[in-house]
Amino acid sequence: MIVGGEENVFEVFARFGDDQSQIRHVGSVRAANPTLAWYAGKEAFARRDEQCSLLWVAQRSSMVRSTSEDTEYLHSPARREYRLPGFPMRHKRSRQATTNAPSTGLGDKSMEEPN
Amino acid sequence: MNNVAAKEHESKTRPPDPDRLLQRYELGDEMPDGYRESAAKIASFQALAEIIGVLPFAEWVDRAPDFTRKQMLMAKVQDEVGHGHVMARVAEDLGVPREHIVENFISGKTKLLNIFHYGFESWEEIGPAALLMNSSAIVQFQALDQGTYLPYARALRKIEREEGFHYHHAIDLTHQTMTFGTKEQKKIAQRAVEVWLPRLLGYFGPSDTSTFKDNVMYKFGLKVESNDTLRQRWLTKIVPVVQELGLNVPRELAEFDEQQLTWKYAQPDWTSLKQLISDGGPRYEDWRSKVADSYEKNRQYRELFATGVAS
Repeated sequence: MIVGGEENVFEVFARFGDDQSQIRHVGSVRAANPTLAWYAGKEAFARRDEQCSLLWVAQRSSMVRSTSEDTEYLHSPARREYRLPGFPMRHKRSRQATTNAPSTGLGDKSMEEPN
Repeated sequence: MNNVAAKEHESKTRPPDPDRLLQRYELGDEMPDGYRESAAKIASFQALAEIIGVLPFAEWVDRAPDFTRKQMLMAKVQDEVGHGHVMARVAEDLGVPREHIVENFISGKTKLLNIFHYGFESWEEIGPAALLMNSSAIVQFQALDQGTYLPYARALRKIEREEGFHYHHAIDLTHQTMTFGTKEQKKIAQRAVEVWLPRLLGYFGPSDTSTFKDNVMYKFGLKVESNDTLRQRWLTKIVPVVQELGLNVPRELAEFDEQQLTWKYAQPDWTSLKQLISDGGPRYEDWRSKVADSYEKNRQYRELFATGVAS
């Protein structure tokens, strides 16, 4: 990872469209201070009719940025099966397959449709 | 001309040697030797082109024939300067400050592509010239944005969107001349096609040699397609548009070969083109001194923006 960076470089984040749209990184500007950077960001990235509804700048010197060397670490949850969304569902299926299994109260048909 | 065939043929071609495009880089990544310099070169060169590219248009802002055209022209000029900023940021992150980009142009160290050595002699020339220039830039950028340096690719995609506006502006402008213009005005527009088409054919660079794959930019995947591929792609895209506007593309300049499914076009004179780039074309010195002047005149604003303190 890269910790910090140039004092005079600001990363620009913007949202185009309504408040359901994603906030995304759009580029960077060079400026002496955060306020000037914000105006520079507006000029460079929200000059056209893009319905910009949000604009943030962040000073690079205050940021921690990943590099491709961090990719493995960032992907690591995918190696832990129990963190994957499909994990509990698989267990539900195997529970249902075992007729004599004691009910856990979760994912039990009788619980879903109480009499 | 069977343009559908050309388009079909085109859609089947993919960038050659796709393996070189697999490894992509972000700013903080470790890069092979020479990669960073090559990426910096391509970004800083484009930053300069964006800035110089506005000058022929900017001098027409106060001569635009009506207020709407003036507004459209101003928006274009502001967009291009914005593109210069975006590209300069890509270059700066790779170690080339924007001051160097501008100063190396002022001192004559950085040369300009052939098309930036000219100006417009009349209002009617602007539409067709801008149409040919924008469409070439779009074809170039759409190939380059598949390249391996991701910050550059992202900057290009932002730029392409606005180039799209300029392209439609140029069509609109040309259409106005061809619909409401006098005979004389239409003649100027036609002449503009004949003058600018060869220049743009030259803009795509020399024909591919057998060794183009040894080019370091190509190997790094910063250059995605060959010059000839892009030139063909551009002709396929733009010739029908020009014709539809009521302008003629003379056969000796460009003609589609139905058998070979390629365009035959007038080969640019590469020797005189090289000479133009090194000696400077008709307006080169105007642009150079204009940049030098405003660089000096705006010094205090630049310093204010860079330091936050007025001198």
